[in-house]
Amino acid sequence: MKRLIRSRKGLSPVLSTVLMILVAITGMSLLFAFFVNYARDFQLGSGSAVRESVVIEDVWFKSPTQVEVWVYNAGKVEFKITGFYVDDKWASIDPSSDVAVSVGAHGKLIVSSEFALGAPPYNFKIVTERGSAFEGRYLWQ
Amino acid sequence: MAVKRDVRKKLHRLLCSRRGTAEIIGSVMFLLIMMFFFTNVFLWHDRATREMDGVLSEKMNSPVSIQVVSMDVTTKDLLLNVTNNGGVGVVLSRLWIVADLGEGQEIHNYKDLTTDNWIAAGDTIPLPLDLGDVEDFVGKEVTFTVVTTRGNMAACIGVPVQTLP
Repeated sequence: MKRLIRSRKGLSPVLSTVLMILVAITGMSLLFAFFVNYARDFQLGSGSAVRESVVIEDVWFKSPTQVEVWVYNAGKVEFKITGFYVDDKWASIDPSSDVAVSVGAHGKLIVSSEFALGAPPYNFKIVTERGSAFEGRYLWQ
Repeated sequence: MAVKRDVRKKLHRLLCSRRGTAEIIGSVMFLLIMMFFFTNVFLWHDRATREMDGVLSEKMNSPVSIQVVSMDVTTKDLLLNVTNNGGVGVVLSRLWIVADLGEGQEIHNYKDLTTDNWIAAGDTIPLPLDLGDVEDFVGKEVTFTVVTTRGNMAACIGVPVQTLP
C-alpha cells in the first residue's frame, strides 16, 4: 500500500487525463455560455423581427413639412421605431414621439420631412430596431 | 478470381482496421453537440413563424366594414354600424374621426373603444357617437375609421346634419 502511494509510475497519464477532462469541461462550459447568450440575443433581437406587426392607422399632414402618424402594434412583441422614410428619403422623428410601442398599444409619431410635401401620394416607410420595414402610400387631400 | 480475392482482402482490412475511429466518433459527437445547440434556436424560430402565420391568418379572416346609420346632430341620433365580415370574432380598438374642413385643413380625433366592442363572426353591432364627437363638423365631410385589435381597418364617410326644429 505504502509502495503504491509513494510510487510515481503512471502519474503522468493520470495527470494528463485529469487535465484533458478539465480542458474539455472548461471549453464546453465556455461554448455553452456563449451559445446561451447568442440564443437569448437572437430571440430578443433580430429573431423577433418576425413577430413584429405595425399598422399605420392614421396620417395627418399638419404642414408641408410635418406629418403626424399614428401606429398600432398588432404583433406579438414590443417594437421600437428607429427610422422613417418619405419616398425613400430620411425623415426625422420628433423626440416627443412614441417610438417604443408595446403590444396592443397605439403610438404617435411626429415626423418632419426635409422637403415640402405637396399633393402627390407619398410612400411612408417605418423601420424598426429589429430591421422590419412597414410601408404605406398616403395622400394629402 | 484474383481481383475478387484482392478486393475481399482490402475490404476485410478496411473493416478490421481501427485507424481513424477516434476521429469519426469525435466528429459525430461534435455534430451531435452542435445540433443540440442549434435545434433550440431553429425550433424557437419555427414556433415564432407559425405563431405569426396564425396571427396573419386570423387578421385575414376578420375583415370589418363600417356604415353610417344616422348623423343627425339635432336629435343626437348619431350612430354607426360595424360589421364583422369574417369567420372569427373581432374586438374594436379605436375609432378615428377625421373631419375635412376644406382647403387642405383637417381635424383628426379619435375615440378609444372598450373591449365590450366585441363582434362575433358575421355579426353587426351599433357604435353610438357622442354629440361632442361630431357637433363641430356639421355639414363637413367626416371620415370614420375603425381599427380592430388585429390591425384591420375599415372606413366610411358621413356628413353630420342639423335639422331645423
